[in-house]
Amino acid sequence: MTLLHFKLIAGVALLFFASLLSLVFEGVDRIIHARMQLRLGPPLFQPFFDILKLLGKENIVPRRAIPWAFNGAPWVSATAALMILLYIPMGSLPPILAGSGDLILILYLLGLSAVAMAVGGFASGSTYANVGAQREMTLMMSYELPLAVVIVSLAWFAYRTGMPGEPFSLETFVGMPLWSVVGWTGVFGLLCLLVALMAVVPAEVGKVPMDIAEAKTEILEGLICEYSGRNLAMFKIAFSLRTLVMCAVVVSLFFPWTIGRHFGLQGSLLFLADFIFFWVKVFLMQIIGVTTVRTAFGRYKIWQASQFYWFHIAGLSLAGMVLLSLDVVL
Amino acid sequence: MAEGLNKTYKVPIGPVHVGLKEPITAWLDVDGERIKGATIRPGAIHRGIEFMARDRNPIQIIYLAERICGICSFAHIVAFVRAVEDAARIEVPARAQYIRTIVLELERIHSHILWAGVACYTFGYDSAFNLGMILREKVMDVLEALTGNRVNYGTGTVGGVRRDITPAVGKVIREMIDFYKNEFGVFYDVVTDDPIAKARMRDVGVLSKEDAIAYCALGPTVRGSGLRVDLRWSSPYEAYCDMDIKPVVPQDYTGEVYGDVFDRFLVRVLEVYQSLEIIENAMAGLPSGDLMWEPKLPKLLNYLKQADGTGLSSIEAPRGDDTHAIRLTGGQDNITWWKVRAPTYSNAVSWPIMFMDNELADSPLIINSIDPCISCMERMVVTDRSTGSGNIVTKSELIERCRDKTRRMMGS
Amino acid sequence: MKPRCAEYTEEYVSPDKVLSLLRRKFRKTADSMELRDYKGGAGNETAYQCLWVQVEKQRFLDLVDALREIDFLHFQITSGDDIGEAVQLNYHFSIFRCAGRGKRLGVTVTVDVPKDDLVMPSLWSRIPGIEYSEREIREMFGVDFDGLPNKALVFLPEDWNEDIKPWRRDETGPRPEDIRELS
Repeated sequence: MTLLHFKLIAGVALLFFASLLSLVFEGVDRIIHARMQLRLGPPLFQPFFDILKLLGKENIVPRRAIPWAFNGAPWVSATAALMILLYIPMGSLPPILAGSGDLILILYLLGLSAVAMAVGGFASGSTYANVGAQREMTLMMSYELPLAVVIVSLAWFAYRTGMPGEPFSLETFVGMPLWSVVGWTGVFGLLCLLVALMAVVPAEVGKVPMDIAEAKTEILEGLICEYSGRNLAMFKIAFSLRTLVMCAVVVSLFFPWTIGRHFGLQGSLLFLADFIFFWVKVFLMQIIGVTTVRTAFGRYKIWQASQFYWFHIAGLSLAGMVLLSLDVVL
Repeated sequence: MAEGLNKTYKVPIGPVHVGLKEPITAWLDVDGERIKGATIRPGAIHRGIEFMARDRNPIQIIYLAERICGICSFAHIVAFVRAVEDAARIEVPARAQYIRTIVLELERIHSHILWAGVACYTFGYDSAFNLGMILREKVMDVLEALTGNRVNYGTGTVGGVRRDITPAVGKVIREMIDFYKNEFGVFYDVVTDDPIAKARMRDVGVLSKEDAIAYCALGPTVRGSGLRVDLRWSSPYEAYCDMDIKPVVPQDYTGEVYGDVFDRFLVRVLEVYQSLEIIENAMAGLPSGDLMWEPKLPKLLNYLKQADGTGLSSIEAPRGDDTHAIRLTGGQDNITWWKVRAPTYSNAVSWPIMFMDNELADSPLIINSIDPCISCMERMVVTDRSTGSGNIVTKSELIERCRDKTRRMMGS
Repeated sequence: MKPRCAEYTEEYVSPDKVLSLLRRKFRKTADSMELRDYKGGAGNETAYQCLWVQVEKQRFLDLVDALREIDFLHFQITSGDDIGEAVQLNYHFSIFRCAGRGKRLGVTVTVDVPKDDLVMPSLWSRIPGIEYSEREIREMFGVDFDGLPNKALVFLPEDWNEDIKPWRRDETGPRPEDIRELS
């Protein structure tokens, strides 16, 4: 009973903390993005101001929308993204819901969040939102293949090399860094998979060059074209949470190292240091994987993005899979 | 996606759209993402400038002409003033011609850099857009140093110009030329070497040579289709008479003509270098002498009142050939009629062809690729679907409504 | 309808020759034709020339075809005025657009359209780029164009009363109460 209570309190606190953190990260992302463009950029807490302002605004439901789907979509999307945080180990801390969910569930929740957005777009009754939703679905179908290949390869590798723990569980990869297990071919394999996963990040979080479903200069923010007020605030939170979660997954899979033990820390101090270090890694990942990329490129068209994922990135992830298999076999 | 089912739905682009800086409506018939047909409807902003001009004399119209467009305001003035000079047989002093040329080219640099930045913004390349805006500031500063204003320079007049290039301004202009020669290459490389920029602009919005001729396309749009058309070369005016200007066409640089958005981009970017060269030459050969044919305004107005005739002038504005025609009748203070043909007027006719079989994602880029200039909003239309009513609210009524609201908010 | 393949000619003809050719073919209005020099630059020398031609309405198409035999007619704009019993239209064309330095020849063709028969032959099948201008002249002056497929409004708003022709100076033009001063 006490454990359940503890988990409940810790879970709520974590979700609250992570939501705030995701907004802070977005603020930093916007400032760094601006600085790279020689602009000043908004204040650090601009995303908070945006959300607070939106929460106080009127919630408009278009005449041609389907109200329950239209109003429900943002909540499902944000909740699904939030739920993932309960399954991610943070530093030396095990996930809140340890043992009851694995990588497959995380993938499903990420997918659910994206599908909810598309449903909201379809339910808006606007042409632009409709086009945006179509694009979101197309994009999902394109990046799911390389994403699945990456996850399956890693799980298969964990299973064959006999890493301790469930092969699909994120804790397995956190407990024992993959890089320490693989041989020379495996290192290249892992690099391929890492690059493939990083390439999926912009599409998963809806940022340039893969912000195709929300392209403002083409289809006027597409998916979220008709949203306003509270619903829009939920979508904004969902977007920044997905960014945070995707970066956290990449970090957990490929950069699980902790620092606590190196400094000989113990007890709660160890947990705290590792916890902070984990978020620092996520932050760095976000700067490299999202901010830099969105500064350096323009937007793809939907068929170009599909082609990019189906051929280039899927090819890369398959190459990673083969190299990793060779590593096991040899 | 519903592609291939031959079912199309209509998507309006404009009159208010994030990707467009000008109010024009393009109704696109879209099948999946592919555009199967397009209907263009301008007219959201027709201000009746030509009608207004009938109650004004040529000097007053200069300020009306300047406000046709913010970016190529000087091009419109020069075209108008040249038409008046043609009708009234006025000869412009050489120094004034050179200064006009310099300002025209400064304006071209301004317009092309702005366009290139906005084109990048249209396909989500915000960094290049910001770089373009930073680069553009320099030429804006020079225009401000020369004329006192950043837009609407108020510099041209019938028979000459109203501002001289002083040694201090000359120094600023030379600094600007050096600045661009060093810095502009970065922008050029950033965009032309970028794989995504190329993927977004290559083979998009193609206008073939035949169509460009048949649909009377102008300026960088027609040059992008590989035709050597440039009024500064084919019918030189002002200081261009003393210079040898080669029309910039893509085949001279890449060896091939696609007639797509990328070629139009290339032409505009390369024309910035050409403009720098022209300014350099004009500064070197700047003759001394008068600035105006007749500096005394009442005397000039009196002469214009006596003048009788039709005048025509076409000049190469940043977006293409800007044509003004005017009729002066002897004994009348005001002009009889005036016709303005901004380049977009002609280029917009080619839009449906450029749209055909492209994607919805490309539509704002295609609209922007001719660098449309549809002037600013002066009235708005209020419609209510439930009652089916529609009425036009003028600017003064809008202001009155705003004040009403303020009073309401303040509780008085 | 797909327009005929358009191309610019390689064979340059001097403006004087164009003028004499037109004078020979259109004797009735030959006296009204003039060649105007445009000067510029420090030396104030002639840089290029423009041809101003007047023609009666019946022979307008012949004149356009005669010019089209020389080169593809690039259409610039139609200007016009209400001159009492007729609407005067000026078609501004140019030829030899890419023939060489200073070789472009502007051609302005003036036609009077009597008000009892406000119909002009459309040039749309010859020069598709003329579409907007013909639609503009139709909505502003009430001149109908025979052969123009799309006669919808271009610049005037959708709810415009089409009985009012903004550029006319007679009873069909805007009355003083129709005009509102915009600030």
